[in-house]
Amino acid sequence: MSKPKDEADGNPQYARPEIDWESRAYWEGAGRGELVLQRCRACRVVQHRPRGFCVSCLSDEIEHFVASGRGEVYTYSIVRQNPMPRFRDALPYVVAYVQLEEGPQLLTNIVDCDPDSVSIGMPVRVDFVSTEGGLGVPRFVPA
Amino acid sequence: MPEKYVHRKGIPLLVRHTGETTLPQNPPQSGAGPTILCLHDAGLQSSVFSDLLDAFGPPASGLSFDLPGHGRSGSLDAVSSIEEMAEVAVWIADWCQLERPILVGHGMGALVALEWAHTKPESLGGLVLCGAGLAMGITQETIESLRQVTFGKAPRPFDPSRVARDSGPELMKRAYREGIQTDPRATLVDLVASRRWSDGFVRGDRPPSIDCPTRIVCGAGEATACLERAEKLASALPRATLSIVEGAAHFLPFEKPAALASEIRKIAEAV
Amino acid sequence: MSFSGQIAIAGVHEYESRWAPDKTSFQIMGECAREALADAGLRLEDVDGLFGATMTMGAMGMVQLSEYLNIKPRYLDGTNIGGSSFVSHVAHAGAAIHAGLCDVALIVYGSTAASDAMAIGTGSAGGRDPSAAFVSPYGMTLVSSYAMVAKRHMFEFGTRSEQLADIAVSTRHHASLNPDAKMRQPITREDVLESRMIADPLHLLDCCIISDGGGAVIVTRLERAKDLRQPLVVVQGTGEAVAHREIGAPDLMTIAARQSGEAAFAMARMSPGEIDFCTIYDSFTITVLTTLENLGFCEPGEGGPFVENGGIGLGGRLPVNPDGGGLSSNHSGMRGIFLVIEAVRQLRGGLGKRQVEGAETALVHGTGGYLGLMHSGATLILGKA
Repeated sequence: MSKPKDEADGNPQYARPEIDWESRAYWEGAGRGELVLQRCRACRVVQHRPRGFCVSCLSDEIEHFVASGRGEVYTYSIVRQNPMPRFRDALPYVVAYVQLEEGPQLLTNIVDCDPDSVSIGMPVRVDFVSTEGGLGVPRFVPA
Repeated sequence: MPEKYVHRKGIPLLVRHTGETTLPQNPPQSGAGPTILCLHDAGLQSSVFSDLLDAFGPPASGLSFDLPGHGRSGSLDAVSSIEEMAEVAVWIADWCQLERPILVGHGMGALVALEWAHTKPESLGGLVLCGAGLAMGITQETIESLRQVTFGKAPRPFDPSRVARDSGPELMKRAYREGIQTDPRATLVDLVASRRWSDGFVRGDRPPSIDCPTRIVCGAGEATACLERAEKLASALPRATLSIVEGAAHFLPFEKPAALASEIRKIAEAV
Repeated sequence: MSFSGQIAIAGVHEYESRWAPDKTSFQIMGECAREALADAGLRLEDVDGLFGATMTMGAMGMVQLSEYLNIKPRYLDGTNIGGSSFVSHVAHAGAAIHAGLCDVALIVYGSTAASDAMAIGTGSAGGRDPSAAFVSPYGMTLVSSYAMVAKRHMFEFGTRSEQLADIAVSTRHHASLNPDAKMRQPITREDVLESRMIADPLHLLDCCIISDGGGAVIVTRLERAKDLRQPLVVVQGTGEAVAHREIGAPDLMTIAARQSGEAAFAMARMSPGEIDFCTIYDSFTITVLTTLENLGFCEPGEGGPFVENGGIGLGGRLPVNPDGGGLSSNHSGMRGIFLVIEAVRQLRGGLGKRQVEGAETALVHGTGGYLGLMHSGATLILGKA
């Protein structure tokens, strides 16, 4: 998986994420260029977003693993209006839910392509932007 | 600086470390160079060492942790003796897969380091003991007035002389902040444990047979009695040398982190 | 009908530690829920009523907590009246259970006040919506959340922008008959499709307006109401639900209305065919379309043809939002009260040009939150006495 790019990559919207002890491993992983998901050792369900315990069987036996980073677009929209300064400069941009190989979907942006070329079912792979604090934010690019 | 929780006997222990983050179930990555493990003082916590760890950069690596009941570790009364604290430290080093770390002990942390050196000398790379000495100068009066604090009958005391005179408001604020992050009940347990252990050391229960490179470091701004205790400690340990750092007092680890880091490097070279 | 002697407390748990620096308040709530259920010999799947309050959850606390716990309760009560909240939650739960609105009520609380105070910049702030960090980097506006549902609906069912536009057209027609509505100039399908795109595929006129406003509703016993001024409007059925990410594996086409509508119809002992008109939360055109499908007025995927060409206009097969809705009449951020008010006004009769002819039964459905992220649904079935 690629190491995160610098924030000054034309993506001012990727501010340092607010982390807590349940989600920290995910954001630290993103800082290392890894997409980190949780799996329950007891019931084997892969869950996202992260919790301190398994919400399928309530077990504490959560383990973190590095996911493949591959998935496909489940749905998306091209945002053309957003007054927030952080996002205004990035318009138009694509928000999407990506269905990961491992099962869960996650909300993200699809970047490095013409927004009009995005389609449901399109294969994508994860890419990271680094933020301060050694953390990162994942987004996806055409595979 | 990366932080993670490791769980020992159901108690979450906060560990800070240099280098990259790792998955929660994995230890920090070890560097190619020497590793230091910092042991905090009574009533304090690992945040005291954040500047020192920053100054002790790659290829070396460093860790510090909060003892149970201190800082952001869990529990309150899990450890009540220097011996138990040393067991926790050994366990952390083991979990983090540290190879013969150099222990940096501050105040009570120095006693923990000495206890470790006595029980498992082969697992150590060296000792750097700062703001410490034999007998520790803990009086019954100190203990009683702290007990009053834990009963809510007195406010927690702040001793500005723990940083060097003319230190300026930033260091003073830092000293104050570091002093309020641990429950005073833990401080009380720490002082009682420290006194008991160092009485034993002086009596000869813990023969001064510690045989690894040792540096006693003391801030020049510490009280004369502290400087004397540091000298006595240096002469009690076979391979110990004493060094005084100007412009710092008891909070040497964040008053003069670069100076302390270079003392540590000298020990690392001697190993 | 008092429930004295008819409600029991079956499980309890108090979080043992008073110092949990490695936990979030949501995690504490989850662990306490687990232990109390174990204490009662019940499972999380048995819980169908969720009650809770904290000092740090915002207004959508129970929706966030449902998402966090991956549960979909049919009764929600986030009443926050301070420290006594949980005492009142027992009473609310008793009433709800007694009324058959839930069977197993989970009341929960969690806080990291002590370790938050000690964090001094190194720890995390507890109690915020735990999903927020996973949403905020991506600029998912409210519109784009709904837009993603629309995109998927078009992909799965072939729904077209023209069909969504027809919802806006009939709603605007209703508003032109409402003297208080904000936007009253009739529009055409082309007007909607040519209005600027906000987030594909939703155009400006697919989105609700913004207005100031407010409302109030009085609810009392039927017997009391008989002695009051107005024609009786009776609550026949109610339902509540939450829909969320389901740990990352949701079906975006199923929204909370499916569950809340089913409950309301069951309680009223009615079916969609008996409803004369609806007031449906219309934050966006897609909201109305998926709500109609999920309430059972048409099959999943059939919403497009159902709303096309005036299907939900006055005189159509099922009038929706005869007041002009949030798309054209009134939307100041939370529109639910206006849904209730218009339904009641229509059932009382006398609304002139925008009166639904022969209105005897109404369905009210509110959606709260982000359709594509997490939202609540609440359904009422109202009738004349």
